[in-house]
Amino acid sequence: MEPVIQVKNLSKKFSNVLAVKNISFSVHSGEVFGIIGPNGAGKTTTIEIIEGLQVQTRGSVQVLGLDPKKNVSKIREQIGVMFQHTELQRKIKVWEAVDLFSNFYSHNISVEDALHRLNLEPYRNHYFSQLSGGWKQKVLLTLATLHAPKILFLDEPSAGLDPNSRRDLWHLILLLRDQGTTIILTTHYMEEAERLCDRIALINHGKLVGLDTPESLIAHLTKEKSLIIQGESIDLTELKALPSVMKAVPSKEMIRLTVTDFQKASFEVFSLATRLNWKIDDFRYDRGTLDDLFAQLSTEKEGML
Amino acid sequence: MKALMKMTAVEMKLFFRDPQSLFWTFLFPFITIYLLGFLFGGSQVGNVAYKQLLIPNMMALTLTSTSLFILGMRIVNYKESGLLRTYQITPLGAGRMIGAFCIMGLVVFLFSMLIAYLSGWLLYGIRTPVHIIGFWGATLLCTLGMFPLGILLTGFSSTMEGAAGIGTLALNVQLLLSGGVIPYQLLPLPLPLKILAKCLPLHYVNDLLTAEWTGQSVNFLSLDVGILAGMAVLFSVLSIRFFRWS
Repeated sequence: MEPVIQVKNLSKKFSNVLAVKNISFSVHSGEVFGIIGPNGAGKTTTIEIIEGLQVQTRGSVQVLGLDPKKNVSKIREQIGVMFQHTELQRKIKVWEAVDLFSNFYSHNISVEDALHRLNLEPYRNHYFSQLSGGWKQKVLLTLATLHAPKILFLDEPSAGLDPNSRRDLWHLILLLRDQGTTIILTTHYMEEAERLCDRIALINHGKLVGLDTPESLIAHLTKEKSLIIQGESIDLTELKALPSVMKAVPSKEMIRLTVTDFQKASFEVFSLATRLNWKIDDFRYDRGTLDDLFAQLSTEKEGML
Repeated sequence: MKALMKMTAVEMKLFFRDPQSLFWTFLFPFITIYLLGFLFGGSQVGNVAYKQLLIPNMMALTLTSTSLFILGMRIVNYKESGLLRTYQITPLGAGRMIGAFCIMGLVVFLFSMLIAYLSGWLLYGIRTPVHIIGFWGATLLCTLGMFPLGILLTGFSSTMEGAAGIGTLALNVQLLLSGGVIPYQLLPLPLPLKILAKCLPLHYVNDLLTAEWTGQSVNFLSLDVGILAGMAVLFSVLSIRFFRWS
């Protein structure tokens, strides 16, 4: 896949603070690329430089082969952005908003097609303020995509939505991805990142600390592998004595085992259970999640990773 | 051009959907003209009847309040809600955005003034402007000078509270020193404040509109026109250059 965004040795300094430190990555055409990190990590600054809203102190950025510093107008014809916490005018009707935004672009855009694409027809005459959070996000997504952008930036798209609206929105995002739109997603919902992203860039303290698929990131960066076991008459001392078990900690009715190797530890646990007649009710691998990784990132000090 | 026209049309619609806007546009001019005419209608300002100054003074007041409270605060409201950032990322641009607001402001202003004039004509027999063409030219020039200034001043704030503070200060200082409701010729100001008043845009707006409406000869008419034209260019450039989307 060809890169649609190339970021090389990007740095941004605000007075005495280096917010972004020598970051490099590329985003391929048609992928959902996540950028995650704690608040203040530098991800918004990085994205705003790519969008042409800020200018870098050092390094280079190419978006669809164009430099955002020099070609911001051309880039804005080809990208869409859905910001977090955006409101339209309270008394603008849905169709009026779509019609207004469609006139900002040089090529002709059909308002009816745009309304149809995200099933907004039943709400076309509703005021924006009358819509639920989920429908507001759909309207904003429509406005960000009505010019068929090649790259779509989504900033916390499902913040504040209920689970059903969130899943609806995810479905639409994946639909756009399937239609060939490259999507850059920032989110604090790690489930969202795991579900949607093909690759994720982890940013912390202004540095890129990881860049891979969600599965590989979890595997490489979560330091512990755990097994969860639950059952009757399980003896904690026996479990602790197993060669592959580093730690065994009871938690409510379960026991969490920190192990060196999933396969060996599983074999040892089941052999022991069979030999000692334990009745196992639940047994799970816990490889960690992006949530664990995010929590780990948030508490780590600069330079630890 | 299509973005400018569409945005102007949408902003007009939104303006007239707001009941408060309707009050300020249609009822406020009528009430103000009625009250001022009732209170001071028999007074003279020099050799001109005060009631003949009502409309140009009312226009100066309305131009200033429209620029600060209808245009400026509306834009700050959009900034606060994040809407301006959404506009920023499109090819719209600050020039077209400000242009659309200024056209919308001009239409609203003309509506208000039509109401004010009709009220004054019906209630107090106020005549039409003496120099009709000059008056329309002066109105356009004052609009071009005042609207970008209002957008520029309120734009220094990112919150509605801040913009309201800036707007109130800018309006009241100008009204107190440069007239607007009470003609500045009647204001008993000490010399330093008179000098300060001459540094304020509203002074020249008042001067020019009054001269064109009453047909009074004004010694420094070309100075008024020059200053207002300069303001129009300067504030238009500055309001675009320093337009803050977020």
